Amino acid sequence: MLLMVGCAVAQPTRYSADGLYNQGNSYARAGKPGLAVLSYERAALLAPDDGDIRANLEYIRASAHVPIEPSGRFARIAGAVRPTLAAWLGVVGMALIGTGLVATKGGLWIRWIRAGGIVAGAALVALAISNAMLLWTRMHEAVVVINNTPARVSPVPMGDTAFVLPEAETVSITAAYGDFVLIRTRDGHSGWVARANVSAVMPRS
Amino acid sequence: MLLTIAASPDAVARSLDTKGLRPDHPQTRAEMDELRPLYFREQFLAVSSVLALLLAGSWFGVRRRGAMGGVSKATERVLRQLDAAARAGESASFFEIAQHALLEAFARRWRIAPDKVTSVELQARLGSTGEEIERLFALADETRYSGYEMAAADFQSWMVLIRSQLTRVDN
Repeated sequence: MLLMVGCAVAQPTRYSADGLYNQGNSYARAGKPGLAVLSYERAALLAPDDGDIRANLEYIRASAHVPIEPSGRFARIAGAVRPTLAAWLGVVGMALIGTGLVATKGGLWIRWIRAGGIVAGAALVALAISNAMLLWTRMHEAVVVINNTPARVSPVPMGDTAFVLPEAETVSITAAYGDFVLIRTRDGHSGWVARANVSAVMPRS
Repeated sequence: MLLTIAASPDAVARSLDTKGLRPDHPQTRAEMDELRPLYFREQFLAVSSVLALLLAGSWFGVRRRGAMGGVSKATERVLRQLDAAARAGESASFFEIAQHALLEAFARRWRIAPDKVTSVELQARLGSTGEEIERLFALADETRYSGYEMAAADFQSWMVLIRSQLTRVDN
């Protein structure tokens, strides 16, 4: 389920990593860390290997006093490749595995090449699956675009406030109800937040 | 052109330290219609599913062929003819087909002409199996000239030997 949240934010018709990055810079200079982080997060989806995007994302989070979660080695390896390239590498990997399994004839050298092809294919497929899993998680993330956003215990405007979210914090969206979405923070807290206060990293096309 | 994300009216501007921001980029990278990664687009899922199905089908076919003895169509045809001759009790036809097929198979396996497949060659390359093949060839000659008729059980034992030799060539 892909949730459309943050109704106050108009969705663009075309996306480019450079455009999103520059837009993030503009928002940062305008003093809007939430929208800046949102733009950088989107830019990072298109160009995960771009050092400038990563650097500015961390810089703005630090400036806005939002905790930065260090990414693990697995995430760094899986996320180092551009999604489009990783997807096609996965297809090549599948073809290598398939060819290796189907080609049954040949001498010793051919068998070694087959075995090598199957191993390389499996590695490429594993890379593609890891990359897709990483993206799947990020497809369900959203950025808080309003400072001191209350996370409520129930999806009603008068619901008790469980905790308050700072602008620019990235959260996971797990459910939706009416004008509210259920979010989970990186430290495990859950609460209902008004849709207008958060914007999905992956906008619905 | 890109992005006309309008700022939320509620997003109040804050004082942020932006001195350390890295500078803007020239727009050199291609624009895309959507942010959704290729993995989760229908076209890509269709292409990769078709490829996966094709490969799985081919693998299944190869395995099935392997389970059936891994024989080629030509060998399968010869084995069918031998089976038919055995069921009909036609010794002459059975041995003629077997001798011809084995000579062709050995010639192909050893990369020599069929008329060079001699008893010396058979014994040198196949050992005790070569002696059995020689016996089969002798019976083929005997059947051709004396009308020798085999029992049903003998057909089966010869079939095992012939099949093992023919499939070895295929693999």
